Amino acid sequence: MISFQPSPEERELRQLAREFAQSRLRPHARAAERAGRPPEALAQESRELGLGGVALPEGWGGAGLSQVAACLVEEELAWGDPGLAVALGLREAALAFVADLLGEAPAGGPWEGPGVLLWPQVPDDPLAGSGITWTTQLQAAPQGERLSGSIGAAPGAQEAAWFLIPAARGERVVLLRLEGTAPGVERRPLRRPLGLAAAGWAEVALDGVAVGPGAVVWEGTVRDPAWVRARERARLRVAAQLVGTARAALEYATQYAAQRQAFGQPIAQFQGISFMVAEMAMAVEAARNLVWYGAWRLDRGALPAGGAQALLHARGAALEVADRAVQVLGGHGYMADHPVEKWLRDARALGVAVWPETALEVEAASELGLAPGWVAGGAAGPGPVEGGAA
Amino acid sequence: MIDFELTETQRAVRDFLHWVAEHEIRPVALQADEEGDVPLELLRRLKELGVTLDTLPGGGASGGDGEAPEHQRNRLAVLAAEELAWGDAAVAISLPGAGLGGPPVQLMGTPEQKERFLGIFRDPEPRWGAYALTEPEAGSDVAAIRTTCRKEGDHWVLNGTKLFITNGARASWNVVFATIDPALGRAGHRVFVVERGTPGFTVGRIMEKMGLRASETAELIFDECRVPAENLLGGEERYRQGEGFRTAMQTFDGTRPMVAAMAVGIGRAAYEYTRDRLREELTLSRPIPRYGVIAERLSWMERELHAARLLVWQAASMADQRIPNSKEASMAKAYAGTVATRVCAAAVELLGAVGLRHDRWVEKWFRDIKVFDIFEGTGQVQRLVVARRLFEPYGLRV
Ligand SMILES: Cc1cc2nc3c(=O)[nH]c(=O)nc-3n(C[C@H](O)[C@H](O)[C@H](O)COP(=O)(O)OP(=O)(O)OC[C@H]3O[C@@H](n4cnc5c(N)ncnc54)[C@H](O)[C@@H]3O)c2cc1C
Repeated sequence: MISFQPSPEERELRQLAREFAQSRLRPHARAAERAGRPPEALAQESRELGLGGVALPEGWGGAGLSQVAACLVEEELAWGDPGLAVALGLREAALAFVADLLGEAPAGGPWEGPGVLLWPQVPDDPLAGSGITWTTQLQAAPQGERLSGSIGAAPGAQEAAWFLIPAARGERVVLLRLEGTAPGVERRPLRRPLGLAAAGWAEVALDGVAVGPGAVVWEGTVRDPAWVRARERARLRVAAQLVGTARAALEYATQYAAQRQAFGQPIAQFQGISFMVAEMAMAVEAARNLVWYGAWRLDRGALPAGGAQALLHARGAALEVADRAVQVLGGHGYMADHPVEKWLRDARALGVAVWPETALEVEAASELGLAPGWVAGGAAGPGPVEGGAA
Repeated sequence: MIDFELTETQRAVRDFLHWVAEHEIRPVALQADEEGDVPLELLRRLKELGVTLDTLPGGGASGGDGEAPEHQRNRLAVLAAEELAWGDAAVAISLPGAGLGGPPVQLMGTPEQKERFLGIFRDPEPRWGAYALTEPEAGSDVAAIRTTCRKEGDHWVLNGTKLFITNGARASWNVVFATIDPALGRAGHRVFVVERGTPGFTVGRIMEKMGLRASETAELIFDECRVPAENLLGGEERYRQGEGFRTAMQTFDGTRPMVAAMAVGIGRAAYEYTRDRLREELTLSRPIPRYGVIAERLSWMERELHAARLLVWQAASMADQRIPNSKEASMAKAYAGTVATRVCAAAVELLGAVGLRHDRWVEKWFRDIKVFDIFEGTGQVQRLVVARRLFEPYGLRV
């Protein structure tokens, strides 16, 4: 059955997230941006509600619901404030990644306290297309291995107690768990990032960090189904956040256009404005549908699930919609008095440090069998498994 | 004659200002952005070097006096604007001088007024003029301004609020548009030069903005502000046929290509930075699919900026040749504003983590560029101007 209606339980969950976003995230957005972190009371509330871990297995402290439900919630939270949505979900996003790799039961912990998944992607990328080689390398040393490398900018890295960090061990990828205080881990807070400042950005440098066997959480290749699943889930989360950001901008601009007067009428009555708003609305709906479709596939075990496609589309849509929202407000849109300028910065920042569009495009192409064979393997993972046409 | 060769003067101006942009402006720009202010020492230094956007623009606007034989004033202005904005747009629009306030004084002022208001810029200390038209409830719709003026003896009394006024707080004087009666629309407009310290004139908020943070954007409040009658630009005679409104519009005609050129300058800065960094980090000649996509993006950025620049040059060269150019000026502004915004967004994306960092420039250019699709006439207003010119021959007013 084709249906775009959330179930009653999903609706209820979405309503809960919407109310939290409206009453708690919106009012704190600007202050959290300036402070570079969410207020502690808000973080506490958010933990209690558990909205960041909707799809996280119960064994990991999540609600164990579907990715579709998680995307519904994530959209609402980002609608409230993209920076706070990212900041408050960092730990759960990291746990979700491990859970996909390890399964139901926690292992390799402890996983308490603030933690974050770092994504030390190398710009010069031999597999190019898969987007997966790492600036972090494991090297054999007299007593065990050592990890070196750097991450240019990562949200949440400022205050994390532990890092989850992929590294190359030859051809294979190893996911490591490091203490934030481990010798050789250096973080430099990044002031004034373009967007999502509430998430507390830092540059992380790893200089010969000793890696004991206990630090290895998982080892495999980027083609392993578990890795592809974790990656797709992470992408869908960001894509849903982009949709939420875009919807916030759309709604704000729509209301403004209905009220703002110029030349004796509401500016919505100029087609230059109303057509623009209509385009924005279409972009939001289309992007959301692709996110839902990807989430639905992921829930049915299809890999890859369409995360590249959903993320690419949502990113383009969010940028365009937020840019146009600023445009609809004219000079007022450029001022910090209104949230649209912030949403434009946040929309541009979401996911940009992690997944280059150019890599996603090649990957999406290779999923369609349109890239050279020697790229496709790394890009596509094991290929569609089941459920829905690609 | 179709020719894209720069004259010697043009090349010299461009090269000198590029040097200034690179060696004087860039080293200060990031900090200025953080602090929300351009250091006075830099502005002093630039004034010493003779760097200004003032005397350059608006061939028509500045009258027949002292023109170069080749009438290349507008082309020089856009070349200058692109280089200075490549250095930093917020610094460029903070340069000492009459700014947007210059053209109306030049166009409408009596000889006595020109001397009194423009003479101050001969002072070696930095001084500013500013242009105060926009109000909280009137931006694109200029005719809807609500700041009122009424004559009382040898003074005019102004009441109202102006918003988003560039350099409005630091200016020695603001050109202020007011109306004797809102019901009269354009015919009711009067244009004043309001000097700092005039009783009843205060500066309200300095706005916090997405970008151009080092540029001062002020709110100006007029509360029973008493302006001497001799500060009415051009004297009362001038206002018989809606002269005030025409002045507001003429100012824009002269400055749109310059603003468009600044957008190109910012876009070019972002493109060059991105290209150089990616070239350094990646071996783009390798046959890797992603590199093909990156190369396509970069060449698209360059192409769009080049197209925008040629539209800017076209509008400017028409102005120099006294060919009506309002369609071309609006095209240049709309095109440059749109594509440069996209270019800066693509630059952030291509650089990934680096693109988000304040100390790596492109995040700043992404914030700065957006306003170039808004001020000096929004993108929509420019498209309206273009459309009007296109449909005029059909007897249609769109
Ligand atoms: C950084 C900055 C510096 C500035 N400096 C100055 C200055 O020095 N002096 C000064 O006087 N002003 C200045 N401005 C103001 C600027 O010129 C106005 O913001 C601009 O004219 C738009 O007006 P508005 O903001 O009121 O938008 P509005 O006019 O309210 O426009 C809102 C939206 O409606 C659209 N719209 C309006 N009319 C139509 C129509 N007929 N058809 C289709 N769409 C339409 C607009 O394009 C826009 O998208 C500055 C603004 C900024 C942001």
